[in-house]
Amino acid sequence: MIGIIAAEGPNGDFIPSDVNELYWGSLAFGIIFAIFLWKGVPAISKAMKGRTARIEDEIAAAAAQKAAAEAELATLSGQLGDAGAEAAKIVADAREQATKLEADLLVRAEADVADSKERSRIEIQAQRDQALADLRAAVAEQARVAADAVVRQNLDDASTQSALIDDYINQLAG
Amino acid sequence: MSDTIDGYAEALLAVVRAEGASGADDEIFRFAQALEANDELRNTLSDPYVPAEKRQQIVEDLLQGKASNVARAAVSLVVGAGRAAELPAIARALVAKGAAESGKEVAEVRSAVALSDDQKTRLAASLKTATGKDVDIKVTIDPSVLGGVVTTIGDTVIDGSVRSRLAQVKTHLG
Repeated sequence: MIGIIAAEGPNGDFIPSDVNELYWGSLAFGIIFAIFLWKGVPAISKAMKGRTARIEDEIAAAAAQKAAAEAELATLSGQLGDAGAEAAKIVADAREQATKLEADLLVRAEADVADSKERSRIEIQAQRDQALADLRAAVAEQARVAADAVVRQNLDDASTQSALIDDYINQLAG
Repeated sequence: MSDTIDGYAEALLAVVRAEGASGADDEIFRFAQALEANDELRNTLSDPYVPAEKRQQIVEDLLQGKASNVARAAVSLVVGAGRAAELPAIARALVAKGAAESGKEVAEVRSAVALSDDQKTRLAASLKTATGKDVDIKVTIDPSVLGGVVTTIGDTVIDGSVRSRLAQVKTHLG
């Protein structure tokens, strides 16, 4: 067929005018194609397989890294959750402590006020008692001095002295 | 009572008895009471830096015409021996021994004024009624008594003085 086409004249596009050229060109093509099939395809196939394997390894490594990252993320998320709970607990404890401290301070302040009032009351009472005692002592001393003066004046009389001695003797006699 | 005081009392009592000076013990007792009440006189007669002759001269001057020779000599003896500080105790022991020889106890009577003989007799009788003891009255004039009488028999004190009554008034008023 090819010979017929070539014998009929040049067509200007596909078929060379010399049929030998066609034969040798086809033979060369066949040889080159065979060599390609024999050496190139396996090499290409091997390279493709290696690349595929490398890519699969990379994919597997990436998947492992992803899994590790997700695990790390889960851990961090858990820790963040724990930290939040801990923070909430600390805040709650602090509020409780503050409330308790406030109550204690209030109780203590009230006790201090009550104590201060009691001490003031006792001090005032003591001052009042002391003033009354001083007054009583002053009055008593005045009365004693007056009585002493009156008695001494009366004792200047010899008959009074004698009468006192006689009274003593009579009281002893019963 | 120390042996020294007892020894002096025994010796003075023997002298009084030997001389038949029945009132000398009373004079010695009254001088001793005056000595006990007068710090300046007691300090002077007890001062070892004052020569014995000087101290005895003071005694002679004080008792001249107021006490018997036996009493003056006895007091002078005690003061000259450097025992003026012990004279009140010696005098007490002396009168106690004298009274004991008569089966009596000494009643030391302090009064602001002198007691009459009648009052002494009645007081002795009253004290016997009150205490059941025969007593020999030894009167000491003590102005601090103010009025009335303070009697001491051994450890017993019967206080009927105005001074104590004023003290009681002061206590009641205080």
